[in-house]
Amino acid sequence: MPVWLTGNAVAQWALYSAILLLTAKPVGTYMYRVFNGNRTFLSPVLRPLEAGIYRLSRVDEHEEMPWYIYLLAILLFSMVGLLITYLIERTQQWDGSFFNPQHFPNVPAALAWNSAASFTTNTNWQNYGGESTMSYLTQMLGLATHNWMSSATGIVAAVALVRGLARRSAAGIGSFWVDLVRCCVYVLLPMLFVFTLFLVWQGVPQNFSAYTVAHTVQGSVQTIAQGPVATQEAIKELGTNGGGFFNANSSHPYENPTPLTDFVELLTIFLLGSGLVYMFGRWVGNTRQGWALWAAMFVLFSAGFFAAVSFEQNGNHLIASKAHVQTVATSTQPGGNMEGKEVRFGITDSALFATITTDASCGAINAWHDSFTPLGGLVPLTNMATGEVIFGGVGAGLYGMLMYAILAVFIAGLMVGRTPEYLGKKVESFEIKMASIALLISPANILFFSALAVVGAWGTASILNPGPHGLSEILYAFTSQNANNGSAFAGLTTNTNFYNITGGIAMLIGRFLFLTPLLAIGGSMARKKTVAAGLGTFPTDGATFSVLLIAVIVIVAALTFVPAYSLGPILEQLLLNAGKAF
Amino acid sequence: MIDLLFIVLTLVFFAMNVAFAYGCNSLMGSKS
Repeated sequence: MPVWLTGNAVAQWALYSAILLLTAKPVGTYMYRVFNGNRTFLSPVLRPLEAGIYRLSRVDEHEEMPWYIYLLAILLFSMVGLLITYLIERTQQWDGSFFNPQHFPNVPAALAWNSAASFTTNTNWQNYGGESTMSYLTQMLGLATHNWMSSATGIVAAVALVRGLARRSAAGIGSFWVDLVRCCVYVLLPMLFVFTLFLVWQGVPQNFSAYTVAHTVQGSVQTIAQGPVATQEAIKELGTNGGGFFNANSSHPYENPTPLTDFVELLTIFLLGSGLVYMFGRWVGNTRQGWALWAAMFVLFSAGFFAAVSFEQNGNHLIASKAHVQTVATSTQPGGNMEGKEVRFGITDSALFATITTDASCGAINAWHDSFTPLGGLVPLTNMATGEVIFGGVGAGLYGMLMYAILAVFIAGLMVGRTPEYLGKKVESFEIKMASIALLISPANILFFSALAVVGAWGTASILNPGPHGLSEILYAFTSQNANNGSAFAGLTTNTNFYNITGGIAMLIGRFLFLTPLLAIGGSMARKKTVAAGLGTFPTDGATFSVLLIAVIVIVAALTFVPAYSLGPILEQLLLNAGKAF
Repeated sequence: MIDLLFIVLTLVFFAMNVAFAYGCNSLMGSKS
């Protein structure tokens, strides 16, 4: 086996992939039944709760919404949630000793707004250290609640789009309120209940105690932060939120105490995204349609992982040239580039976590991406720049991938000279216009704010590492915020008015402006009739389509961002090869 | 005062998003 690949890497990838594959069908089938209002094995327990919520909130279970009403409900729900979270943060000094035992002051205005926008958009970008800034009430009522609601919002948006693609001659794409309730009650609640108890069993704290002050054997004093961690940790991964209770996120032993929690956390990041893809195939009446998307996602995930792990395993040749530094993996140490990595996890698990967390819009980390080699760090950056369609954020990955699918059939249609069709419906100019707008929003958002940051001291003063690495830090920050990922490259001081405000706007654009044309596609497709497949119909349920889809994603992402990457991570790698490090 | 500014910023963003959605819907209505 070459020096840049280990048996450990292959084994972990194989085990992870096998379990992910096995879960796709049961999870997808369950969600299909939930969102169609069918009975599930949990209905005897949860149906009374669901019906009670409808009665209390006066929601009509059978209501149908046109796409723009569905969107307006999402926007209204999110806007109110954002404002409430902002107010919770701005008033936390009055939370009392039970909910704020550390007596943290109110969160500063710009930081509070950035954090509220961050959690509303499922980004969980954090310009603060949770254990030193937020009260328990803010963590639970403001942040963890949003972890639920923003995840559910992403899932139901994908469900609405899938419904639009599956229906024929229909005016509505479902009810946002009904989908939201079903998602929270049947999907998130039971899964999080089990996952939270699992985490507590493994040693993750769940309490309201003040921080413990410990006296170490060397005589120094150590403050050990704790609190209601397990509940936030569970939704952090399952909902692909990523915002840690602690600043060190999943490298902190209280968030990720054992190898088993690490593996299960990784699995839960992809669990719902993978299941949703199967649900899509089931819903449109041909599971092969879902598997074609799943296969494209899996190939891109695997390529990203093996690229990241090989770059990290290969390490930094400047360090390797020192005779006393062991950079080749042995049975007792991982070798490679261990800077910024937890020794418990090593190269393989850090690369696996970095790949998965940025394939999805999770943003949880167990290693510092800033310390990856330049090309190793390019992998998470590229994953996010694709729009995180590789299983993706809960819901967001599927609706992003469906946008690429529509573009792929359009390109295939151009090649064979026929009107493109997808799922038996003609894809016409409106759908292509909407997909193109959605496609352009992300790069415009990322590149505009990155350019704005590098032309003035308001942005450049925050750079820790000068040169190409500094540009990578800024690109990573806005790519992460646009993609609602939330992982940080670190090294960039972003708790400033400039980064708090521009970052907040970038997150809102990346979430809601991007979603708008996609729901419009759902509404438009729902109104169409299906046409029988003909000789000119490009099949979208096989390997050829998966390959075309991968090509479209790679080409679009590459064409858009290669110039910027050439000045950032690629230039940094070339300079590293020439002996200069940043 | 600063709180009011951030509340207004939030309202302006969502109002713009609604206008964008209206534009998309108009485009759908105008298709042949």
